[in-house]
Amino acid sequence: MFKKSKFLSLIKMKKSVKIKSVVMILLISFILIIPLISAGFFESTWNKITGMGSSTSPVTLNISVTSGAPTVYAVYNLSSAITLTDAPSPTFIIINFSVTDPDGAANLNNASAAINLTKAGEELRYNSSCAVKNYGGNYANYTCNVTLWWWDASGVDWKIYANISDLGGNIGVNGSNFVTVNTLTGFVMSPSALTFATLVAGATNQTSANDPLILNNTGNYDITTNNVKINSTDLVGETNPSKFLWASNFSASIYTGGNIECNITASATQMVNMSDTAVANTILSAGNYTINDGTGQENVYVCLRKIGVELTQQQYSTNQFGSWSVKIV
Amino acid sequence: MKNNRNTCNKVYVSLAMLLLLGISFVSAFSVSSPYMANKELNIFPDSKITDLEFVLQNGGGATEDVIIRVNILEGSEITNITNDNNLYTVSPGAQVPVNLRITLPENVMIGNTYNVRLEFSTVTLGQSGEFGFGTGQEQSFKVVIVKEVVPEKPKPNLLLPLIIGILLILFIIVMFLLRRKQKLSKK
Repeated sequence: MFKKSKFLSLIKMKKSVKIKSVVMILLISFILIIPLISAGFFESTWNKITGMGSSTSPVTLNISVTSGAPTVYAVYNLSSAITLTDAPSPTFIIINFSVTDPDGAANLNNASAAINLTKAGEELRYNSSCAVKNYGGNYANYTCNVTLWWWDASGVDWKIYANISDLGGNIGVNGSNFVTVNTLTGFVMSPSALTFATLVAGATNQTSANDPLILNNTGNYDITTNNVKINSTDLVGETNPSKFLWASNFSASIYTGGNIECNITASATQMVNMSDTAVANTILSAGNYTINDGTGQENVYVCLRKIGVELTQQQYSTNQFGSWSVKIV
Repeated sequence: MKNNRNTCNKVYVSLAMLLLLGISFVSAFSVSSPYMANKELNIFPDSKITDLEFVLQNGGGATEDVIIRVNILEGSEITNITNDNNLYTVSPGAQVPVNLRITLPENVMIGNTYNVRLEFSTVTLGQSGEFGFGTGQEQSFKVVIVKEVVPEKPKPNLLLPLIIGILLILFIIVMFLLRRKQKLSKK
């Protein structure tokens, strides 16, 4: 009897332990599951399973270091968008930022204040010697001068990184601001005069004595293939306006040698009177043309394919039909 | 006699051509335009008027003023230049704004597109005997009427309270069952 009651109480005890264990497991599971829920684990898993999670939402992580690192804030450029100065001048832009340091502004290493401008595929633009504008207490303001160049690409995604370190080597960085660079389109052409050595009536395939015309891209906009055009007009005799030097007797090409710039059945382009005529294969990409190695440059060779035998001595000009024009599109 | 005449002509033409083509035609200018991704300007139907500023510059080592003419080649039904005239004198190193206004018509609808094409060209003053040569460029972009995007209100996250509720209910059920079992076993 004693044995039986002892056995029953043992079973009861075991059951009670079991119940407590189940309750404990449930409680622990509950405690463990809460952070997962609040971190969106189930939602993201559910979205992954159902495919309903196509929309993503940005997650901002603010990591605060409590070891006295400086905090960079209020990074700004005065203009909403930057108009680059065309070549060959640089463009200077001012970017200001503020810093707070819990150990006081005197703890900031002013010489380390710097601005980096970055954009995918572009050269880094930076100023590593910003000036202190003013400071007091825990705060300091810096002003930085960053140099951009005419070939720096346009876009709204030039990211500004403002950074500074304190005397303890703690670094504060702010990379949450962007600056817009506008599009700049332009070119300059040289030499200043186009000459032909000797031209005689009835002559053919006369190339210029001092070409190529060198076109330099003075902006940040890439002129793509066949978008350099020449609008030509007939030259009219000034004394006898019945005599013409026809525009269609001129041709242009990016190639030279063996009078290929005169060969309109090959690669040369025949001019068309009063029409924007694309010079075949021209490309005028943005770049630092001052290197003079072809970067940001295109050459155009000109040929006078035919001089009419009927031409007489007089001046021929564009006065009547207008000037020729080299255009980029 | 005929040969002599031809020779004479050849000499004359030769002299004339040397004179004609040895004319200076260097000119340079550039145009800064507002950045537009893919050359598209997206406008909401309610934005009846949109102003754009283009900036003319005379760089490239220029030493003389350049006169630039601005023409609207396409899209004049919605665009106009708000400056007094379409001729601009730009000194070396100077920046001169050209203000363009886009006015949407009354019946504009979402999805409507308008092509705008502007021509900027140097004005070469014609002189006797000159082989005038200028430079120019075209700026083109598309005006697209788009629907105004109203920022979505963040949806309340119902998943968290739902899971907590389910867990609580489960917990209560388990507790109830356990208590019931305990009572039964006591009996």
